Amino acid sequence: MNEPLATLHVEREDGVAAVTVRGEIDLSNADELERRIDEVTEGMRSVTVDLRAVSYMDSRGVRLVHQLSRRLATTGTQLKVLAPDSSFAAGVLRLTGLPELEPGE
Amino acid sequence: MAWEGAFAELARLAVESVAEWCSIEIVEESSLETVALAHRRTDVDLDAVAAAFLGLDVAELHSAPEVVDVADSTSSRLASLASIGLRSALVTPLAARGRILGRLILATGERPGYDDRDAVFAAELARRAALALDTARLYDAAQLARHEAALAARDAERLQEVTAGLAAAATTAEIADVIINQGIPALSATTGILGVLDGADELRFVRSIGYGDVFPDSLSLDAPWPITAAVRERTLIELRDVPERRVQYAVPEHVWTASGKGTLVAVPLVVRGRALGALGFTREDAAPLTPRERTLVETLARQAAQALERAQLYEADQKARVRAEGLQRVASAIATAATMGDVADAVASEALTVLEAAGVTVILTEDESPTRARVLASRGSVASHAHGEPTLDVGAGTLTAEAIRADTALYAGSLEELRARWPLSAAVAERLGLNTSASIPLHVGTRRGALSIVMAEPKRFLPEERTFVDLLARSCEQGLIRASLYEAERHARARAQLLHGLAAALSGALEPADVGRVFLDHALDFVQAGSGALMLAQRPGELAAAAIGGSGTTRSRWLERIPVEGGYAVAAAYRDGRPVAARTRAELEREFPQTARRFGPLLHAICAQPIVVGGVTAGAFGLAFEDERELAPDDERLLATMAALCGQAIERARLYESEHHIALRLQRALLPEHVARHPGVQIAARYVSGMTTMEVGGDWYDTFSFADGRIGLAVGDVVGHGIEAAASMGRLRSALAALAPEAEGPADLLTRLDGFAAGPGDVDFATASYAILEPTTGRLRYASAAHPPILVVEPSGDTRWLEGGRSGPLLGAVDEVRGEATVDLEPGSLVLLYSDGLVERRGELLTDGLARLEQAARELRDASVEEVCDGLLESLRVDSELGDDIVLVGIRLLPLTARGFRHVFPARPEELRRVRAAARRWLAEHDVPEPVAQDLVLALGEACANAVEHAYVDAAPRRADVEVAIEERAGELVLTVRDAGRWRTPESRDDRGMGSTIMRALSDWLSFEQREDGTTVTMRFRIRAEVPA
Repeated sequence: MNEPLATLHVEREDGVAAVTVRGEIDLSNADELERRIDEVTEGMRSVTVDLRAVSYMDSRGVRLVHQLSRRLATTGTQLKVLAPDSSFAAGVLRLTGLPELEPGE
Repeated sequence: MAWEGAFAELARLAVESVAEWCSIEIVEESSLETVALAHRRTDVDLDAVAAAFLGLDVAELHSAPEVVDVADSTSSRLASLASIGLRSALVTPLAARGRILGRLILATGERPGYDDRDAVFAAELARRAALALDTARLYDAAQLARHEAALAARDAERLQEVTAGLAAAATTAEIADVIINQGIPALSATTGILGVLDGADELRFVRSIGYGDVFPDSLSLDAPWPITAAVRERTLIELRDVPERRVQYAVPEHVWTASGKGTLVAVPLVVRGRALGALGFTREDAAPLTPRERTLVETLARQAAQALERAQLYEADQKARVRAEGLQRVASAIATAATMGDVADAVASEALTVLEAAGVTVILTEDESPTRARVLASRGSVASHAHGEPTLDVGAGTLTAEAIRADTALYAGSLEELRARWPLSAAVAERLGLNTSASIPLHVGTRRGALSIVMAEPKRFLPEERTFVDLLARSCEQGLIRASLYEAERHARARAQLLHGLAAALSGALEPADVGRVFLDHALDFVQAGSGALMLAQRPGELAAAAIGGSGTTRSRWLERIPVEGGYAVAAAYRDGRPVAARTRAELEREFPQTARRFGPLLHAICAQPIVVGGVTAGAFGLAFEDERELAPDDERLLATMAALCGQAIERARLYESEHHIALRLQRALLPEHVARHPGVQIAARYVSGMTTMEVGGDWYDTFSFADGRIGLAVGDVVGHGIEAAASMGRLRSALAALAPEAEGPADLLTRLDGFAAGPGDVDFATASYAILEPTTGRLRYASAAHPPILVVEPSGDTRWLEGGRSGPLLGAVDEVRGEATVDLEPGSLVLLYSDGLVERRGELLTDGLARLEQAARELRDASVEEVCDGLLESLRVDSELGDDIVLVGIRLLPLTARGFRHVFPARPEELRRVRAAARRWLAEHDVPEPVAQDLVLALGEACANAVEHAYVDAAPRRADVEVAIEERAGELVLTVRDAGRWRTPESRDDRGMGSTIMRALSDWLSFEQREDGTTVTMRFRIRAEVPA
C-alpha cells in the first residue's frame, strides 16, 4: 500500500515532452497526475502521452486526457496520446468517444 | 286252600253214611275254628248251634277218640247238639306227626248211638283228614319259606349293593345317594331322605328324593318332625298313615302332601352311641313294616351311619390336610412378602382358597389414627367393595368393628344372625349376596385390625375351623409385624434418600425459579399430588409464583399472583407462618373459599406450608390433590424439612442471582452481537456462561474484517470471576479491536495488548489467541498468549494443533517478546478457537480434553460451522456442567468454488485499488475469461469510485462503508455495489455522465436503485465470451 498507484516518466527536449504513465489511474491519483503532467508540459510545443503501460484507467483517466487536450489546444500545443488497441486505455477511450485522440503508434 | 275242599267233601260223606251231623274243627292260633260242617237236619236252628261252636276252647281237645252222650256233655258246644235232637257224638282228634291239629265230630240222633266200631271208622276218617291237612300245611310252609328265602336273598343282594356302593362313596352326599336309592325299592317307598347332624342341634339334609323341593335343607333338632324325633329319641319311628302322623307331629301339610300317604319310617343313624344323622322313607301302602323290612331299614341305617362316620373322618382329614397346607403356604408366602400389603394379600388369597370363602379382607388401623382401619388387602368377591371403602371406623356398628373393639373373634353363620346383631354388616352382606361373616381380631404392635371372612352360603364354623381361622390370623399377625418393622426401616431410609436427593438437586439450582422447580418436583413426587406452586413475596401484599409444577389437571389453575390477604391456602400458610391443609372438598370450601373457587371441582384437597428464607417467612408452597387426602403427620413433617432445604437454596440462589446476573449481563453486553462476514468463510461463535457456579466472567471472543478482506479472529480468557473479570474482558476486547488495524500482525497486537490486561480487582492474568485469516489464500497468521492451541481440521479429517507463536499470558508487562506463526489452510478447512472451559475437566489432564475435542471436531467436520459449534458444546459440555465459561469460534475456509466475492471498504479513494485487486484475484480464481474480467473490473472501478466520490458529500453518513459483491448466477456474474449515501445527479462536471456511460456500455444489464438509506448499483455480465466474428 506504500507503492504509488501510478508513476510518471517525463522526457523533455526542444519543446517536445514525452510523458509515460505506468500503473493505474483512478479517483485517488487522477488529480495529482493531471497537476504533474500540467507542470511538465508547460510551454511545450508538442506533447506525447504514452498510456500503453496503464493497466487500469477509468473515467477519471479519460477526464485527465480530455482536460489536458483542451488546455494544450488553447496554446496550440500538439498532443499525441499513445494508446494502441491492445491497451487497456484504448478500450476506455473508445467507450467515451474521443475520436480526435490519436490511437498512437 | 286245597285241604278245605277235601274237608267239606269228607263231612258230606260222613253225613251220608254214619252221622246226621259232622263238623271238622282245626286249631288256628289259640282257638278252634270250624272249617267244615255237614248235617241232615232241616228243621232246626242251625245258626244257634253254629253259634255254640264259636270260640271253642282248645282245652276241649282230647288226644283220643271219645264217644259222648251229648245230653250229659260238659261241653256247651256238644250240649248244644242235644237241642237239635242229636243224642250221641263221636269226637275224634285230628293228629299228624304227634301233634293235634283239630277234631272231627260226628253226631247222630239214633239209638243206641255210636259204638267202638264207629269209633274205628271215625278214627280212620280223622287220620286221613289230618294227613291231608298236614300235607297241605307242609306244602304251604315250604312255599312260604321259598318266598321268604327269595325276599331275603333280594335284601341281601341290596345290602350287598349298599355295601359296595358305600365303599365307593366318599362324601355324605354320595352315601345318601346309595342308601336312599337302595332303600326306596326295597321298601316300595316313594320318598326317601337322609340328613346329617351339623353341629349339635341341626339336621342338614344332604339328599331328599320324591319330595321335589318341598323338603327343607335343614331342620333344627328340636323341630316337631318324625325325622328329628328319631334322632332325639334314638329310636326307629314307624307311623301307619298320614292321619296318625298328623296327630303326633306338626309338620307342614305340604310336606305330608308330597310324601307317601302310607307307612312312614324314620330311623336315627347311630354309630358307637353317637348320632350322626337320620334316614326316613314313606310309602303309599299303609301296611306295617314286615320284620324283614324293619331289619332292612335298620341295616341301612347302621351301614349309613358307619359310612358317614368314615366319610366325616375322611373329610375332616382332608380338610385338616388342606388347612395344614394352607397354613404352610401362608407361612412361605409371608416369608417372601416384603410389605405389609404383600403379607396381607398372601394371607387373604390363601384363606380364600382354603376356606372356600367368597371374600377375605385384612384391615389394620394406622399408627396416626387408631380409630380408623385401612384395608391392607382384599380378595374375592368383596375386593371391589373393600377398595371402594378403604377405611373402616372402628367405632362403627359392624361385625368387624366390634370384633376389633371387643378383641374377640365374631361369627355370624347366617344373614338372619347378621341382621339381628349387626344390621350394618347385614345390609352390605345382602347387597353382595353373602350369608356368612366372621372377623378375627389382629394385633400388630399398637395397631389393631381384623381378618374378615365372608361366605356366600350360610355356614356354621365348626370348632376345628375356628381353630384354623385363628391360626391363620396369628400367622398373618406375625407376618405383618415383621413387614411393619421392615417397612419402617425402609421408610426411614427412603426418606433419608429423598432428602439427600433433594439437597443434591437443589445445590445445582442457581435461581429461585430453578429451586422452586426442583423442590416442587420432589415434593409432588413424594406426596403424589396433582400439581403445586411455590410462591414468594415480592411486592407488598402479594405472592408471586416462582415455580409451578406437576402434571395433574389442576396445574393450569395456579395463579401467577395472589393477594396475601384472603382465602387462598398458600396465602394462609404464608400469613400464619405454619402449615395449613384441607383434607376434603367440604373443608376446602369452608377454609379456603378462594382456592376452592379458583380450582373448581377438580380440587379435592390441598396442603400448604410456609417457606422460610434467612429466618424470615419469604413465601409458601401449595400442593393440590385431585382426590380427598390427608397427609400423615410423618409426611407433613418431611415436607417441612424439604421446605427448609428449599428455603436455604432460595437464599443461596438469591445471593448468586444478584451477582451472577450482573456479571452475565455485563459480559453479554461486552461480547459482539455479530460475527464478521466474508464470502470466503463461514464463521460461527458461541458463548456459554458457567451455569452452576459463580464462574461468570472473563471469557470473550471477537471477529472482525479488515478493509482488505482479511478476517481477524480472537478468543481470550480473563482469569478471575464476577463483575471485575467481565469488565476486564470488555477492556481487552475493545483494545484488541482498536489496535488490530494498526498492528503489524498477531504478535505485535498481543504485545500491544499487554498493557491493557492490567486492571483493578480480581484479574490475575489473561490469555488470548489471535489470528488473521486471509480468505483468498487461506493463509493464517496467529499468535497465542498462553492460550490453548487453535485446532485445524482439514477436509480429509486430518487435524493440526497450531502450537507455534506461543508466548506468556497477558500480564501488563511490556518486555515480553511475542512470536507468531503462519500456516496455510486448505480450502474446506475448519479452524476452532476456544477457551479452556471447553476442554478442561476437574481431575483430568488437559491433553485428555484436547484429545476429546480433536475427536469430536473430526466427527463433525462436514457440518456447517453453526452445527459444529452446537455439536461440540453438546458433546463436550455434558460432564463439565460445574465448569467455567466457554467461548468457541469456528471458521470454515470455504472451497473456492463455493464462494462469491464480497468486499467491504471504507469510502476513501485510496481503498479503490484494493477492491479492484481483490476482484481481479477472485475473477482469476474463478477462471472468468479475461475480456469479461476486464470489463467487470472497469465497471466495478467506476461504480466504486462513484460511490466514494459522491456518496458522502452530505454530512454525517451513518456508515462510511462501500460493499461490493460478485456472485455467479445462471451463467452471469452479478456485480453489486452498495453504499449508504445518495448520489447526486451529474451536473457540476462535464465528465459526470462518463462513468455511467462506461458502465452501461460494459455491462449487459444495469440498474441504479436509490433509497433513503443508500444507493445500489447492479450490473450483469455474461460470462461466456462471445465468439469472435
